[in-house]
Amino acid sequence: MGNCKTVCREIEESEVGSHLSEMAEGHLRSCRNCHEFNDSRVKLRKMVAGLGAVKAPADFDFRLRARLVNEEGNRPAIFLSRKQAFGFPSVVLATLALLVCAGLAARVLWPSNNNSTVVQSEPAKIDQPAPPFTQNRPAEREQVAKGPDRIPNQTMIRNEPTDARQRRLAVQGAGRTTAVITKSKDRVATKDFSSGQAPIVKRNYSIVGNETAAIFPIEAAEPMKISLDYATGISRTISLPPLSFGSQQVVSPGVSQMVKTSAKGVW
Amino acid sequence: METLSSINELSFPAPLRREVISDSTSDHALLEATRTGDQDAFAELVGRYRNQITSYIYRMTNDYDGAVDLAQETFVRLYRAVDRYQTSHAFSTYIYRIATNLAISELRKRKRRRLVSLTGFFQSTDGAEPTEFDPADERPLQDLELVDAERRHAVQRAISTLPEKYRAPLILRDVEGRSYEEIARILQTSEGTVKSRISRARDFLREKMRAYL
Repeated sequence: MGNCKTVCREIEESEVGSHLSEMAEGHLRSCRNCHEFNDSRVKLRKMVAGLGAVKAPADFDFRLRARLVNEEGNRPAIFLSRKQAFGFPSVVLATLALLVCAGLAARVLWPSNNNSTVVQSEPAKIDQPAPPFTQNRPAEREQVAKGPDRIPNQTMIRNEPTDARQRRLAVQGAGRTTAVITKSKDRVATKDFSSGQAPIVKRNYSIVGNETAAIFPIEAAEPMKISLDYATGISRTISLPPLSFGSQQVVSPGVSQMVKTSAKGVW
Repeated sequence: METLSSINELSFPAPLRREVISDSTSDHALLEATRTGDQDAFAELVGRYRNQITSYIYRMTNDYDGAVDLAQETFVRLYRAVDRYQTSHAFSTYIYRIATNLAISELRKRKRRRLVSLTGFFQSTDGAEPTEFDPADERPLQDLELVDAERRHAVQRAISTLPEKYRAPLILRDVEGRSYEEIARILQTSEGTVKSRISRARDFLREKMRAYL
């Protein structure tokens, strides 16, 4: 039995047509099963080997070349797309970042003036007829009670022509510029004197010994009054006390007086 | 080494002629030339192995047109991977490995696509492919050529019914004539496994070809 297994293994692993070992040959002469096994194996292997080789078609090389050219033609696109796929997100992000920065820069450098406060700074006009005022948003209306005293020479702005988004508040003081405040529907009222020419205040002073110093061309002894005229016809007057800066007294021009200064120094 | 007395004595060797390349250049040298862009070297390689690969894949798949397509795919993959090829193994081992993998993939695809047929009822017990019902032909033998042709067809059909793991080593050994060592390298398994599978495959074939033995 042990010999049969060894002999059969030798028969399996041998080459077709080659001779077996003497031991195997001797065993085959005596063992019928192994002999039949050897015969069937030899025939089978000859049949399988007899299948022969199949040849490739005549245009095999041509078709292969065409296929390789096609592969090469597709490869750059694929390669580029892989490269692009790798770099494309970076490019997109960089472009977006650039656009955002440009937008922010534009916004900072050139702010939009739509619906911003409109300021008209004009010299004080006395008895100027007020343009009509129309207000469409009751929620934005400010109810201001009329002041008991009306200061003469006030400019009351009434019936101002405005669009639906504007409301004008006129602030006028005696001898002051008129600041017009426009309020948009979405913004808080603000004062902006920048659109008009600011009043020029000349100040000539020199403090040498007992010389007089004219600080402001105002009558400091009189109270400063500010009147607010609303479009609804209501006006409001605010009276400010005489100006004083600590213990300093503003002297009138032409009067030679000693200027008393506060401990803080000459203003 | 000779000392040159002037620059004129310096001579460059003549380029190798194509005939010399085809006769004596090894597969590795041709592949190396392909790597540097020599298209003729690759064409030489194709000429050397196209019949073998086509025949091997045909025996595996029993489909000639499919075998030609897969053989071309084998060379395409070889061309694509030429930079990664290492000379530690024989070139034939490398190309046969590619061809084997492609053939086995194709067989598995067919298995998934195969419709149930009446011949599928005859299944072998060890999970092999369903055998086709092929009753013995009781008619008397006619022309010997036709007999031989019919025998070859029968053998091919029998081989195509073998499981994949038995089919490849059998074809490589009994059809292609490869050694056990090379078959083991191609299939990336041990020699003992190769021998065992070949023996099992021959047992299967013997059962199917009993009428012809």
